[in-house]
Amino acid sequence: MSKKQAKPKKSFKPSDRKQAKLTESSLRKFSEIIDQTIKLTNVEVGDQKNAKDRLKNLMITRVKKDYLSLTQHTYLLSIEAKSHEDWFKNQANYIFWLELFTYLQSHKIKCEYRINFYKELFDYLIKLDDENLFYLINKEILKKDKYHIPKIIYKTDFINYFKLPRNIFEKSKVDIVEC
Amino acid sequence: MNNKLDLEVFKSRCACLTEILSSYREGLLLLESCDLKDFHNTYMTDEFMRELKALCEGIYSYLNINKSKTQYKSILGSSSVCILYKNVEDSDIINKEKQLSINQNILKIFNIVNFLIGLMSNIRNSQNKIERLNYNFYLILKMMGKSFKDFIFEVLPIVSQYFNNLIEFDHTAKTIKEFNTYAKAQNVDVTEFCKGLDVNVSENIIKALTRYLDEYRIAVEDIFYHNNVRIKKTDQIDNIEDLDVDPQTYNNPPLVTESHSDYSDDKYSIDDEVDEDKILKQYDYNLNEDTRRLAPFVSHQKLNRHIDRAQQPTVSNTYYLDVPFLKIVNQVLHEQLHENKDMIESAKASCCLMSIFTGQSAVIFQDINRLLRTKQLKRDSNRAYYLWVVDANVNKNLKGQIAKKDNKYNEHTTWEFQIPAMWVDRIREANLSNLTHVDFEESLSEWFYNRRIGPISVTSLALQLSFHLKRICNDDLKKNFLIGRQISHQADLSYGGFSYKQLNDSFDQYVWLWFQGKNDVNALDRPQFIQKDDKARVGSQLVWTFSHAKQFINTLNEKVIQVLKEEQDIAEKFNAFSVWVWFCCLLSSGARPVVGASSVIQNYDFITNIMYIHDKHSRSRQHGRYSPLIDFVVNELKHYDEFIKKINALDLSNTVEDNIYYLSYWKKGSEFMSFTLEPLTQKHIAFYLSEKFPEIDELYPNWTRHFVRNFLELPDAIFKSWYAHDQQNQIGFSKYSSLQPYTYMIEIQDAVNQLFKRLGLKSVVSQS
Repeated sequence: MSKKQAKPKKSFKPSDRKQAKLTESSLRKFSEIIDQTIKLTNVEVGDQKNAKDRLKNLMITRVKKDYLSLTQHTYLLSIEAKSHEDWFKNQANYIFWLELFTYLQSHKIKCEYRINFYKELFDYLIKLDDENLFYLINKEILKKDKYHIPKIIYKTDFINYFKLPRNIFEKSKVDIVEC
Repeated sequence: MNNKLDLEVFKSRCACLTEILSSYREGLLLLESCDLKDFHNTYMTDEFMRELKALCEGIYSYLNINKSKTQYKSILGSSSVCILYKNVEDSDIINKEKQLSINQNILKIFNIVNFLIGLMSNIRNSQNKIERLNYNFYLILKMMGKSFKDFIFEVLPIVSQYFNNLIEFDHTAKTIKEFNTYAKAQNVDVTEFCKGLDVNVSENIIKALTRYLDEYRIAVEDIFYHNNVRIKKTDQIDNIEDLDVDPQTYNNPPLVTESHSDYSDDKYSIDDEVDEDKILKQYDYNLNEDTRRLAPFVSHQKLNRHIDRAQQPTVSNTYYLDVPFLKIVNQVLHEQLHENKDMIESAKASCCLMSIFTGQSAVIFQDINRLLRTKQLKRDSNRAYYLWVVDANVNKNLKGQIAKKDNKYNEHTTWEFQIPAMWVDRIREANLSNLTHVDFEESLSEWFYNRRIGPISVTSLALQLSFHLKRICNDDLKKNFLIGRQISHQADLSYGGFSYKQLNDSFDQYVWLWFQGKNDVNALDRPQFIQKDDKARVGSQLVWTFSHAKQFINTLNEKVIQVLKEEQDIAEKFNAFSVWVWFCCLLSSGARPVVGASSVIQNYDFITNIMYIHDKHSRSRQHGRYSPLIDFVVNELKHYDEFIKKINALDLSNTVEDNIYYLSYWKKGSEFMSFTLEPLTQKHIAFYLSEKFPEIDELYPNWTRHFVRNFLELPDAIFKSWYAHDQQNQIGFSKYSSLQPYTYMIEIQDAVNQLFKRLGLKSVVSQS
């Protein structure tokens, strides 16, 4: 084996601050979704910034914890071949969705905007077209503790999880949401 | 000496100066820009000047020694006047004169700077700018005193001229670009002059001076262009008494300026976007013998006044003929037509008869072929009679929904009546040419010799139509239409519509004024009318029939109720509600479809239920008008506002600018859950209707105004004010107007309520 093909040396473990920074930068592309989610859940205007920070910190802490343990919750399977940056990027990517789903279960979106929000959220998710992500969302959230974990997200699971009107994705009039 | 001055005395002096300056600025603002030049001569007494100077001296020298100057920027500029102000009493005569002129120039600059500061203080968040202006003033004066010490006498007039030019520039007529070019050129003039002096001034000083002067250009630009402050220039208005509008409107410009109007997407030009106040009456001097002869020698203003007086529809008008005389005139003319053996004379009588019934001068009928060519006169197919065509002058090439069959309320664009063929044939046979008023009047005086009905002239014959219709027709609009010649520009004619039958009836009454009765020997030889069915109407082609419009509005009404009740998509709900309120606003105010349907939040007063509308695109109207609101619309608007507040749309949207309108349109953004609220325009309405009502073709954006004009039962005078069709000297509630605010309000409210009741509209909120 030539020297060039030799495995790169494993980098040192990034510092705590660096970990947080890496995760945060990966979460940046979702900032619009986080912003809108916080705005549309019934959070008071003065408290919105704190709520946003709380949610972000929740995600960052979880990524960091996973990094420490590298357990079955480490979603990037072939960790060996990638750099730390990649690992954090991917982990944050998955954790974001899992945390968002959990958050949305406990925080209700404002009644008037609920239908638009979930429709757009579903569209956004589907457009990502990421089988791994869908698998993990199903495994951790939508089909938790089930035997068969599909690699696509079914509308029915989505509807059931968020307790949405049955016909939300149909073109006809949507049932009235109870506020 | 002043370094011992204690702080409290200094502070009280500063407060005193600030107070003096602010009241002085207020005084300046009242005087307007044109008087600024010689302002100090009248306003500032010697005593006041001395007092001010002493005060400034005290403050300035204290500042110089004890305080950092920047802390007192707001008074520094004015207090530094004393740098240059020297006591002139003791100096010798030549110096005294020089010093006086220097002082005068300083005062000139002082006035203009304070005038600008006064204007600036009316603008929000301008504190920093005011300080800058003050500080710059100080810098300029300091520079004058230091760098141009020996040449102040030459330099100051140039600088003061610069300031004067900035203010005197015609800001209303010229664009911002023109102003900037002009001001910069003036700036260069000043600096060039300074360079040309013998004194050695460094490049830096010149640069600094350019910068200081430029600050004032920016200030003027800010005040006059960006903040739209309009200043009355006395040379534009001769006498304040001649103003028909409250002079206050010039000082406080209306809330909405033309920049808020949006006709940009309008394919048709909006029907009445003509400048009523600028388009002058069309005076035809040839129609009146006196004016025709005098036209080359007498000023047009005088001739216009003469024509105005001649056309004044009063019985005391010398041209007016009372009803009994009309019968005699008609009889004589008929006699001449039938019995005069001279063909030319007979044809002249025929011309006069035509003139009586068409309101045109008899002279023009000699060239009958021209009238046939211009289609003013048409030959009927069976050749039994000719048709005189009165054209409503309306848009005939209309497309879209209203143009469809049976959708137009006013089917006809012209109204016609029959003229006996014999009259026209006689003129053609006689082959008249080159006859003048004088020829006609010679014949007239011959025919009416010894009849004892006073002088009959070409003019008097032509004017009878207008005189007598004035009394027959209950509204001006119909009269002006029947006369067929717009005496002055009448925007409302393009909106109006008339029943064909009623036009016939009114004109019939006029025709019979000229005959003894049904048994008159000549009664068969008179203009006759084309009988149309009762529904036939002439007028604006943009009026949708009531039933079709009602059907559309009701469908929209039902749809919006349903959407608000059942639809879950917030954007759909929002836009449906906006479109509904748009139509409510337009139908209740008859306003033009400008941005936000004129729903500027500040312009609504729900205590008196009056709103202020300013929807005219042209610059003719600097001021808008008041329109009463009806309860139904107020409720819908309030519910709409509550709806927006409930869903917190204003905070959640990405709208950057302050929302000044009630009505907005929800536009989805590209990012997750992002949206903007745009002021609602006719483009949005057209888009919404094309999506939700595909069965309806494009609707003319201004159709509501035409619709309201035709289906609202209101006196003509009220319509004129309400639609802003009044001319400058007839504006409702002005000093010549007898329109009562209470009547105006109640009549409009009643009529609009009636219309809404007829349309069967339901509130969209109470239903959902």
